[in-house]
Amino acid sequence: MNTLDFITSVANRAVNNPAEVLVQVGQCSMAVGSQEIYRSLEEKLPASIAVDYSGCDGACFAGPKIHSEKDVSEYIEGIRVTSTGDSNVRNYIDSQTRIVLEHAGNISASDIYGYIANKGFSALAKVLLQPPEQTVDMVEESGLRGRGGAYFPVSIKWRSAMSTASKERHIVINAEEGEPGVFKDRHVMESVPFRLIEGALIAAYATKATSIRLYVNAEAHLSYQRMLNALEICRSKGFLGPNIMGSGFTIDIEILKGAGGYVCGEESTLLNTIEGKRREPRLRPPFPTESGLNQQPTIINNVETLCNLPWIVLNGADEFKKIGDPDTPGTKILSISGSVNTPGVAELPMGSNLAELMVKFGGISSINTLSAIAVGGPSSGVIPSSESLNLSIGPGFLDGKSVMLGAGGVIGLSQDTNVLEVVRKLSEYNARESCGKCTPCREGTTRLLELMANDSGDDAIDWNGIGQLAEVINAASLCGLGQAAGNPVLSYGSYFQEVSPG
Amino acid sequence: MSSNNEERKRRNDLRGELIDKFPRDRSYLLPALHFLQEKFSFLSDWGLEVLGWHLGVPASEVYGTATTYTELLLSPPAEKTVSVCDGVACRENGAAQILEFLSNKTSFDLEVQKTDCAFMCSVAPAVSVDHRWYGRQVPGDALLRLVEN
Repeated sequence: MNTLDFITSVANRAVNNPAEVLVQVGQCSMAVGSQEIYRSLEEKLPASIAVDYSGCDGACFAGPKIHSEKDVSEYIEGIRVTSTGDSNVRNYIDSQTRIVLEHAGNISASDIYGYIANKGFSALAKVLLQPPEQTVDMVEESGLRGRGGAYFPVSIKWRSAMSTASKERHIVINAEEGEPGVFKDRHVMESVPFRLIEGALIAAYATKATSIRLYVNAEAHLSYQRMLNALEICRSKGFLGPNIMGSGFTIDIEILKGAGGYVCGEESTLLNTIEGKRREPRLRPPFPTESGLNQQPTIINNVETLCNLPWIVLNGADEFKKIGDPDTPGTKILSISGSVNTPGVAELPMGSNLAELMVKFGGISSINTLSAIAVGGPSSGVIPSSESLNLSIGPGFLDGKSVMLGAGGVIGLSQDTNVLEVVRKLSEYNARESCGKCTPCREGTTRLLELMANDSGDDAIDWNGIGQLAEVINAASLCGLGQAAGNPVLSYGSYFQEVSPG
Repeated sequence: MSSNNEERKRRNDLRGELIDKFPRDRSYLLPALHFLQEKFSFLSDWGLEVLGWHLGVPASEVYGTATTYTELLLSPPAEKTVSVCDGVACRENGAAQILEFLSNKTSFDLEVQKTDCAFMCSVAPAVSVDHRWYGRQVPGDALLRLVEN
C-alpha cells in the first residue's frame, strides 16, 4: 500500500462522528471534579447519547466544562458544570489565535478518527509525499522558533543536527515542563496528543531522524497516560512504527517518565537523564545537535514547537508569518494565573502587549489592580504592572534587562502582595533546584538567600552586594538554571529598589 | 528458613524480575528506578544495590542518581500525606491561610506539608490528599473533611 492508498482507506473510515457529549477532563479540571462528571454521565446517560472525554480547552477558570449541544445537567448531581457555549468561555477562546490549541477541548483525546476528521495526519501525509529537505525549507521560511523558552530558530537547530555525520540521529521531545507557573504543555498533551505525535513525525521525517523519545514531566500523570494511549493507537493504525502511512518511513516514539526537578528541562540535563546519569547539565559546546544522546546528533524540541508544524505544513509558511511578530512569527501559549479572575491557558500572537493580555485574559478590570507580574518563573523576574504597559511578549529579555518570557508563565501579583517575598520564593526555588554541579550556582543561590534574609528589616538589605552576586551567578554558571538564577533579584533590584545592581 | 536465606531469595527474586523487564544498559536506570518505587513504594538500599548489579552500574552511582530526583523516595512514605501547594500562584490565592488553618485544626499526628508549584495554578489554591489534587480550596469544614477522611 502506498501513502495515497493509505490515506484513502483511512479517510473512508474517518467519518466525523464524535460523541455527542465531551467532558473536558484535564489534570487541573480533575482537581475540581471533571472525572466525577464523566463517570456520572457514563453511568446515567441513556445509551443513545455517547459520551467521551477531551482535554481542557484552557478556560480553566470555568471548569469543569462540558462540550455539547445537548443540555445534560439533569444527569449530573452536586457539581456545578459549565458549558463551553457559555459566553465567558466563548469570548475567552474566540479572542485568541489558536494554532496549537485549535482542537483542544473540542475533539476527543483518544479517538484517532476524530482527529483525522479534523485534518489530523494530513500534514504528515503531505510531508511524507515530498522530499524531506522541502519541509526543512518550509520551516526555515516560516521563521518558527522554539517555544521552550530560548526561542532558537528551529530550522537552524535542525540543520545543525543534519550536518553532523552520523548513522543515528535523535529527536527528543522536551515535555519536562517544570517551570513553576506553567501548565501549557500538559494542556496540549492532554487534549491533542495525536497532534504532538504528528508534529514529531514531521520533524523526524524532515531531519531523517532514526529515533524519537518523548520525555514527560513526572507530575504530569494524565499527560503521560494520554500520550501512552495515543502512541499505542497510532501503532495499531499504521501511523507509527514500520512503514508509516504506507510511505516506507519507519520510526517509533519511546515514552519516558521524568522523576522531578526543574533542571531536567535543561536540554543537556535531559540527555543525561535519558542516559541514566545524574541529573546534571553537560558542558557546552559540543551542543546536542553535534553530540547529544549517546554522543550522536540530537534535536531537542519542545511540545508546543512541534505542535505548530502540522499547521505550518497545511497552511504554508506565508500564512504563519502573517501571525505574530515579523521576527518571531506565530503564537505563544501563555499560562495565566495568580491574582486574576480568569486563570487559564491562552494562545496569543507573539508581540501581544503584556498589560493588555493580562487585563483581557486575566479578566481583571485594570492593570492597576496588580502591583506586579511575575513573568517566566524563577529564571526570570518580576515587573511592575505599570512597566508591563510597554512590554510585548517575545524572545530574549522583554525589558532588555532581566525579565524573560520563558515558557510563558505569567502570574499576576495583587496590590497587597509583598513582591520581595515572591522574589525570595523564586530565589529559594533556584537554590533548592540547583543540581550542585557548579559552584557559582550551588553556593551563590544559597548566599543570595542569606543576603536577602530580613533579620534587620527589609531596608537593611544590601542590594548592591546582592546585585553583584547575582551577576556573578548568571555569568559563571554552566547551564540555563544557573545563568538565570540571579534574574529574580536583579529584576527586583532594578524596579523595586532605588539602588541599581552591579 | 534462616533470615539469610530469605534475604538471598528476596534479592534473587528482584534480580529475576529486573532481568525480565530491563535490558542490561544504563539508559534503563531511570525507568527501573520508577519500577522499584512503584513496587516497594520507596527505594530501599538493598533494592538499589540489586538494581546496580543488574545494570552493571556501581551502587554509588545508582544511589547518586536516585538522590538527584525529587520524586524518588529513599525512605518509606507517610501513610497519609497532605500537601498544600506553596507556589506563587497559590500564595496569591490564599495558600498561607490554608496552611495556617490546617496546622491549627487538623489532628496532632497529621503532618501538613508544603510543596513547590504543583502546576495546578489555574485552580489555585490547591491541596493534595494522598497524591490527589483538589483545587480552589478555602479554609473551612469542607477542607477539613477532605483532609481528615
